[in-house]
Amino acid sequence: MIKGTLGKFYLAVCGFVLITYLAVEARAVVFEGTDLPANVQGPPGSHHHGSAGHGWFVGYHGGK
Amino acid sequence: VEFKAGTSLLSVCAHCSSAVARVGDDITELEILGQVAPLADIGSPLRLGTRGHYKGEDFQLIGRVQLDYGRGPWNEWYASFDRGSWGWIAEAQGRVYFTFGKSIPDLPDYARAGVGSAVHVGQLRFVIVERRKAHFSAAEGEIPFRATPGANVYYADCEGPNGAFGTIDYGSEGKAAEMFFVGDEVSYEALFDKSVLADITPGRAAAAVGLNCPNCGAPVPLRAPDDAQRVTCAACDSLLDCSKGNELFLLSSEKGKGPGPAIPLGAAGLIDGVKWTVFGFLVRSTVVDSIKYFWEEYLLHADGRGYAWLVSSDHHLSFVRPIHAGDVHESGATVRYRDRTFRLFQAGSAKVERLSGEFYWKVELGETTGVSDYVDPPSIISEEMASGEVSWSSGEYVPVEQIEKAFKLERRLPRPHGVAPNQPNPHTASFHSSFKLGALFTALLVVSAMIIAARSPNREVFSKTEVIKRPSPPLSTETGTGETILSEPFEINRLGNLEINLRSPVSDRWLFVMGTLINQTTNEARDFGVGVSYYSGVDDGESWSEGSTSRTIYLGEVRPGTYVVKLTPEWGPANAPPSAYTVSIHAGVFLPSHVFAALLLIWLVPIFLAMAHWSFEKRRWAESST
Repeated sequence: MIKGTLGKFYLAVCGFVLITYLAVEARAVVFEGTDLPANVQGPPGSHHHGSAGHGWFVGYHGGK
Repeated sequence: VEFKAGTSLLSVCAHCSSAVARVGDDITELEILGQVAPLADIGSPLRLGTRGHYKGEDFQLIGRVQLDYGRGPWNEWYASFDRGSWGWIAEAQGRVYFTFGKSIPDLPDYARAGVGSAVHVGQLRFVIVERRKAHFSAAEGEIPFRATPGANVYYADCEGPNGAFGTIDYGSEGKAAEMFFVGDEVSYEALFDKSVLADITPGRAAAAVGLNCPNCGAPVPLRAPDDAQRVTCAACDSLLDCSKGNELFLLSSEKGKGPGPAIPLGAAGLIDGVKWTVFGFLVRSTVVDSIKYFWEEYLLHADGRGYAWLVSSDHHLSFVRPIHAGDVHESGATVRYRDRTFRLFQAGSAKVERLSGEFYWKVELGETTGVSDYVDPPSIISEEMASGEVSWSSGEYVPVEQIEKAFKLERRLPRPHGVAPNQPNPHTASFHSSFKLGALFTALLVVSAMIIAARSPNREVFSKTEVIKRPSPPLSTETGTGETILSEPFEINRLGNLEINLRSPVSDRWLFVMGTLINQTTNEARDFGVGVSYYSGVDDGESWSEGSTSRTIYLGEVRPGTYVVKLTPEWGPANAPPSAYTVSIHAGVFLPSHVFAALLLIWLVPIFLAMAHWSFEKRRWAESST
């Protein structure tokens, strides 16, 4: 169907993408992060910084 | 005077060259129509009395006429079949045609039989390729019609599909069609036994050895004396007429413009297994937007194959062979040939700027023809129209390296530059095959995604609406913070994601909910945040809005277990909280965005190749005059 180095490369890309997709779905990985207070939109022209000193961050804390 | 065939109406006396015609049915009553001029020796392997066979029937050549439209005569042989019928064998420009007379109604008048127009004969479509007035210049033997020496003959030659050929005879008046002679292109070898052809010594070929240039005296060898009409002197570049017997006549000593041949005249090379020899070389030009563009053409010859061309444009090479006009179907800016469609690429006039070598037609410096090129890479179809005739040719793109190897050239040919009209697009094959592979993996991905979507539980595990009270007394801080709520425990049955949605009727304010997902089995905690904001107003008379009252986030890799979620709202401005907020959580949600991301990755390569393909085509068609 597709020949040459480019063909092999593209076949590898397609295979990698499909396998990666299946792996992502199997492990329920998500790429969308959670919100940070600083990201919440303030009035136009301002920049809202949220609660100072909260230190919210994205991802797994591992704490109790 | 002898009349061998009952169909003969005229015979030329072999002793005094008188044209003697039969009168009525009485073979003893004869009329002398005049004296016939001597035949021009224009080269032919055929002679009076030669016997041949066509489609299983034997015939004999019993007469010949020579017709001339002003640029040299050609032969028409009168072939009488043993069973009583007869036909014509025409020899012109290295081609041989065998035709038979038929009465066809509704043929166009001479005035309407324009070159390039179509004539339908039964199911066959013929295209008129030449329409001229010639005159009956010489004859020998018997002729099946009464012809006064010197009389005019009007005719239109047509080409049909698959080598079919025809001539419409308009008689001496050039008005209504009198007869249609239809047949096909043949070869000497197909009509005559090799022994017959071998017995005939080509007089001109033998005598052609030892010809000298009338301008400078240098020897001028002829490679194909039977076909050659024009030849140039290698020493002084003079253009010579070699069509009038065994003598050369000076036509012009003007030197042309342009480069000399990069492939030497006389060089031979194998193309598609056939040995082609370079007979001639032309430099031609066309003018587009007041700029003159040049290209080169090599005339090639192969025994038994006739003539071909190697055309070099911007050093891109195409191997070109003549085709039958009847096989080409024009339709606006496209033509169809052998089930392929060719698009008009350029049309203009081509002028001969320089020539050297030997040519089978009466070429001259400054000769100008109308040319239209149609392309379907790697093929090109060209129509060339001169006064009174049209011809078609078909070419294929040939890599320069192939020609260098074929002709065993010691010096490398110049490398091509730019994009040729019929140059194969180097990205087409990979673009098409990557498209197919992309489609295959898209199908695999979509099927996988459908299975995953069908198996996703998408189950709501938590939903709560919480009312927010206005702070009392008013806060002096910038932001307000509400009460923390703790959900009831809920079960997550299998590894999956969580979709957390926040909705709140915020207007010119924001709400942020800080959350913690706590696994009661392992006491692991995961923090998250989700916020909404919505602002609107009017500026300079135009209303605007931004933000949203709803927001969704996702948590991945949530393991099975019993969970609770802890939520704490925060808002601004501090003293204007939204009235309430709702948080809902779904477990095991199918995410189409992952499919789209994978599709994008899969299609990146085909998209890149498509852009490369289109970019190449854009460069190609930027050179088009259409």
